[in-house]
Amino acid sequence: MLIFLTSFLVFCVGIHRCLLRLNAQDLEQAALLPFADDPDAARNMTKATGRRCEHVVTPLFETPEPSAHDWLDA
Amino acid sequence: MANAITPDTSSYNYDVVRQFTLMTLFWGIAGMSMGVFIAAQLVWPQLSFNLPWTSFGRLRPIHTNLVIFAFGGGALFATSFYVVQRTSHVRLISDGLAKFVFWGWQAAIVLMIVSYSLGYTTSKEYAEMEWPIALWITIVWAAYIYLFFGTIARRQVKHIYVGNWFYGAFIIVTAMVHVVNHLAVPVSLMKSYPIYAGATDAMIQWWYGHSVVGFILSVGFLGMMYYFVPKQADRPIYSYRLSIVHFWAIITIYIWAGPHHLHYTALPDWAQSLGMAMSIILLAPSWGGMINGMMTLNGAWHKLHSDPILRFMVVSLAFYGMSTFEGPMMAIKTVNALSHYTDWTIGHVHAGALGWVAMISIGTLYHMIPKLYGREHMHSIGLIHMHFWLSTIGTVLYIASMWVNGITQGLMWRAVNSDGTLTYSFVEAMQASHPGYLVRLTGGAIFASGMLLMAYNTWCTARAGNKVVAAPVPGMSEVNPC
Repeated sequence: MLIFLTSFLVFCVGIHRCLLRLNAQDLEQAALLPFADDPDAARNMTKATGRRCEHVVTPLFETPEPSAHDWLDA
Repeated sequence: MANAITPDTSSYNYDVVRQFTLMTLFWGIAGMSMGVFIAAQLVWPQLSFNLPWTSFGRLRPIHTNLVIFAFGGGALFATSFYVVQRTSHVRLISDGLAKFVFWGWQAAIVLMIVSYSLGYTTSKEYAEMEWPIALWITIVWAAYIYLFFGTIARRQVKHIYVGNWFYGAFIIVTAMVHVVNHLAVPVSLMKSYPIYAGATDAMIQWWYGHSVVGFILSVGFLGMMYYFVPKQADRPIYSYRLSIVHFWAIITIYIWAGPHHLHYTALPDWAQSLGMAMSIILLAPSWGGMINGMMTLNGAWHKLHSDPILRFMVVSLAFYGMSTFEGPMMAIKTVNALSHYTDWTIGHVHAGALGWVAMISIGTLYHMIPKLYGREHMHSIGLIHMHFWLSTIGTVLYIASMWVNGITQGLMWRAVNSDGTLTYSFVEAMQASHPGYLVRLTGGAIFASGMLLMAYNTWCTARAGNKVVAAPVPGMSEVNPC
């Protein structure tokens, strides 16, 4: 019984924190995240479904600057 | 710590994704070839050559570890690094640590192969590695945790995409069950004894064993599905709400299902029944993921005619739905009384391993490889079509033969005469299984041959393409409407 209750509690808290605190607009934009860094794919998706990413970011074509002390830098 | 990377002006780290992708292919071919070889040994036992290191007992864990940890694990490393960067709009937080995770993981795989061949094993299924290797994997995994969650912490978007939640759960729970199940007292460099004993040891082992199935082979690959199916279909996921609900449901239930591996053993009856009940409940969240993936193709089904990559993904979801229905059914004690210890279990495992894990990985890699090498498409779409049919036919032959064998074996083993003696000897059941073993070998060989086509296609794609050294992170300052 304790196991069932624990599982159910984790489930409810998880749903509450992840779902009930977001409005429909947030959820819509979250669902479109795979397209948000890919303008071509975002365009195709919008054409097919009519749904629109609010922000599609265009890649900056810059060469990365390698770090000399990268090993554990974060 | 110093900030080595300026997120909005650097490129994604595709080097580690490319490395893991290529090694996934390499280990996939090696692991599946090993599977074909041991399947041949069951048809022609003389293929063990009477040598200890080529015996079935030593080669079988090499096959399982290669396909689960080297092939499946490699696909998860590659795609999780790809997805977390692209959905967080930020480069991995450390290139050096990414290199360490890649080389550390490859070293662990090689150590497993060598030690199993030499007969060093804990004898625990999927956890055969002796303590030094288990310790090394813990260190590598800790680095992976830091890399993955550190990248999420540095994300340039507000929301954490649901695919990353699935990857995150796979990473955390795998660490937890790996550490707990490998707690042991070493008595020499390559020998240790678990700190648990008897039924407790068995329970911990199958808590781990089923969590490997649940969190590596299901939850991890669902993370993969949640990014790559929408991208390949040009459609967002069918229901984002459903994805969150079934995420929380699946992670709260999967961890309790392990005892169904120990029905009719010394495990307390209540624990067996709990495992059975949780396994049956598990059907709902599992099918939540399957339905969500399938319905993403709403309005895009016509694409299946011309897009073999999408076909790989959809068929993998069909196999996922099928095997996650079959699993809970097999966990029912009365069904398990017939199926357990028979080839039905092998068929069930491979419906998931070939049909779901391998096919979603193959589809995903075909999606990713051209992008990693700066090409529009794979070298040959025709070869992908051919690969799809080889995989599908191979999987169907494999699982159908094992179902027939399993039910035959279960029925023959339980048949009794009116005087209470067994109707069939074990050898008679083996003889009845022989044609099934031959069909299984054929199916497995067909599936593995498809991987060779994929390797050739990848080689041609990589050779013709430009390595995308500076795969750019999106500039957050440049915001365009769709």
